[in-house]
Amino acid sequence: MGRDYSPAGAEPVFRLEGVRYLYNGRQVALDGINLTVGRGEQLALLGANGSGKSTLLKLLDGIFSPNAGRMQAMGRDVAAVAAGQDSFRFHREVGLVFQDPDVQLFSATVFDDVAFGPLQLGLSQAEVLRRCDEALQMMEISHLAKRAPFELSGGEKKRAAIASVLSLKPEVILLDEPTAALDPRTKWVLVNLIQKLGQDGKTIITATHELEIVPLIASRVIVLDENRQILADGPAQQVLNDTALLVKANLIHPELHYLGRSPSSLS
Amino acid sequence: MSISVSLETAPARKKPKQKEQLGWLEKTLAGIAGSIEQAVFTEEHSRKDGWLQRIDPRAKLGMFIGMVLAASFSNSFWALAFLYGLALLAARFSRVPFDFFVKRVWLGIPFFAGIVVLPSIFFTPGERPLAFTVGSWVIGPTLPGLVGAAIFIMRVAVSVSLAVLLVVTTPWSDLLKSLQALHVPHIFILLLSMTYRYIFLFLRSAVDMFEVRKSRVVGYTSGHDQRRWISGSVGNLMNRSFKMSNEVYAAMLARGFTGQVRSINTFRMTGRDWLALVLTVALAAGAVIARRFL
Repeated sequence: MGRDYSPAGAEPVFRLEGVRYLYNGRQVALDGINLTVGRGEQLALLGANGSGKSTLLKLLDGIFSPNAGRMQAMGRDVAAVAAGQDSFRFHREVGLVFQDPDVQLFSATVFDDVAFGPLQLGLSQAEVLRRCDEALQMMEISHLAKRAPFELSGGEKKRAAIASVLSLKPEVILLDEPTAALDPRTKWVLVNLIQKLGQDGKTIITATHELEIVPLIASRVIVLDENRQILADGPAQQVLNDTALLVKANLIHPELHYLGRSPSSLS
Repeated sequence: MSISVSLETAPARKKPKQKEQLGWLEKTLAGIAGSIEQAVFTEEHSRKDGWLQRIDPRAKLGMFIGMVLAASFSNSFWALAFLYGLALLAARFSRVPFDFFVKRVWLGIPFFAGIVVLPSIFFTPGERPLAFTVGSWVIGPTLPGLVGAAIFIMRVAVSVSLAVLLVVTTPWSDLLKSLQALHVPHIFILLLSMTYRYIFLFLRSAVDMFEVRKSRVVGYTSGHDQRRWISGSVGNLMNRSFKMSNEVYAAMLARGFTGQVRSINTFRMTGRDWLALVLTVALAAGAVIARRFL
C-alpha cells in the first residue's frame, strides 16, 4: 500500500483508502491507493502508459466503483455515486475531461455538446445559453459553435471537450492528458487555462506524462508506477528533481531525456 | 549477371489480378472518402447566406412536407413541372449550385424510378404509338403508359429535389432538432444525431485501415486472404465501436446524464418564416387544385 502524502489542513475533496480496481473483475488496474486531495489543490498525476491514471480519474469522477477499499468524494461514498445514487448532484461539482475528445463530443454540434451538461442539470434556457457563451469564449472557440465535431482539428476538438466540462462550472476539474498531441500554441492556451482555473480556487487534477508542463500547472505530484500503485506523492519540484524516481516510473528514459549525456552520469 | 538472367526467366507476374486488387482497394477508399467529403460539402451549403438557409428549420420542414404532399397528390405533369420550377427557384435563391442540384437528382432518378415504372409503360391499356408484332403478341409502349411513367418520374424527381434542397440548406443538427416540432421523441433524435456524428469517425477509421493495408500490400494476395482481411477489419471496427460506445456513455454520465434526455431549442419563428411557410403551402395546394383546370 502506498503512503498518503496529502497536505494537512486543507478540507478534503477526495479521500481514498486502500482502493483497488480490477478491469473486468480480473486485471488489476489500480492497487492499494491511499490518497487525500484538499480543496483548491492543483495536482498532477504522472505515470507511464497503462499505469492507471485514466482509471483513477474515472474512479474520482464516480464513473467506476472500487472493487476494494474506501473512497469518499466531497463527503459522499463514490461507490454509491457510481451506482447512480446522487450522481446528478455529484456531477455538478466534479467534471472530467476525457483523454479522447471524440468520446466527449458526442452531439451533432459543438454548441450541443457544451450545452449538454447544463441541460442535464435542469438549468433554465437563458442560464444554459449564458454558460455556453462563457465556456466557448473561455476556450476561444465561439466561432466553432455550430460546427460538427468531425469538421474540427485535434486542437479544436480538445478545446471543445474542455468547454463542454467548463459549462458545468464544476468545483473539481479532472483532466486526462489535456495537452497530448497538441501543437505548442494550443498547449500553451490550455496551460494558461489550467493556471487561471487554479487561481479561481478550483481543485484540478491533471493526468499527464508531459513533464515540462507539470511545474506550470501543479504544486503537488503523484506518481503511479507500472504496478499501478502510488510510487511517490510530494511537492512538484521535489518529485521532478528525483531523476531516479522518474526513470523507475518510466516517465523518462536516460538516453531520451538527457541527450548528449552518458546514462552513467545520471547515477 | 546471374541475377539478371534469373529475373528475365522468372514467370511473368499476374498483372491483371494485381490491377484488379488495387482497383478494389482504391475504389473502396475513394467511396468512403467521397462520403465524408459529400457530408462536409453539404454542411458548407447549409452555412451559406441564402434564402432557405435563413428560414427556421421547422418552417422549412413544414414547407417540405406541404410540397411533397402536393407532388404526391398531383396527377398533372404541368403541376409537377410547376413544383419542380419552384424547387429550382428556391435552389437559385439559396445559392445552391445549379449543376450540383440538378445532377444529384437527375443522374439516379430516371434509372431507379424507370425500372419501377417500366412494366406499366407496356401493360397500361391504350393506344400504342410504336408496336411490334411477335406472333399473336403486340409489344410496344402505350400512350397512357408513357404519360403515367412521365408523371411518376416527375413526381419522384420533385420529391427528391425537395429532399435534397432541405438537407443541403439545413445543418443536420438543426434538421434533427426540427423533428421535435413533429413530436418525434427526444431520445430518438439524440440517437439519430449520435449515429450521424459517429458514422464519420468510423468512416475515417475505415479509411485509415484501408490506407495502412494499401501501403503494405506489395504482391499478389488471394481472394481468400482479402476476404479474411475484410472480415478481420469488420470485427476490429465493431470491437472499437463497442469500446467507444461504453466510453461515450461514461462521458454522458460524467456530465449528469441520468437517462432523461433534455435538449435546447434556440429556434425562433419570425414573421418571414411564417410568411414563407404559408406561401409555400398555398402554392402547393394551388398546384393540387389546378389539376382540375389543366
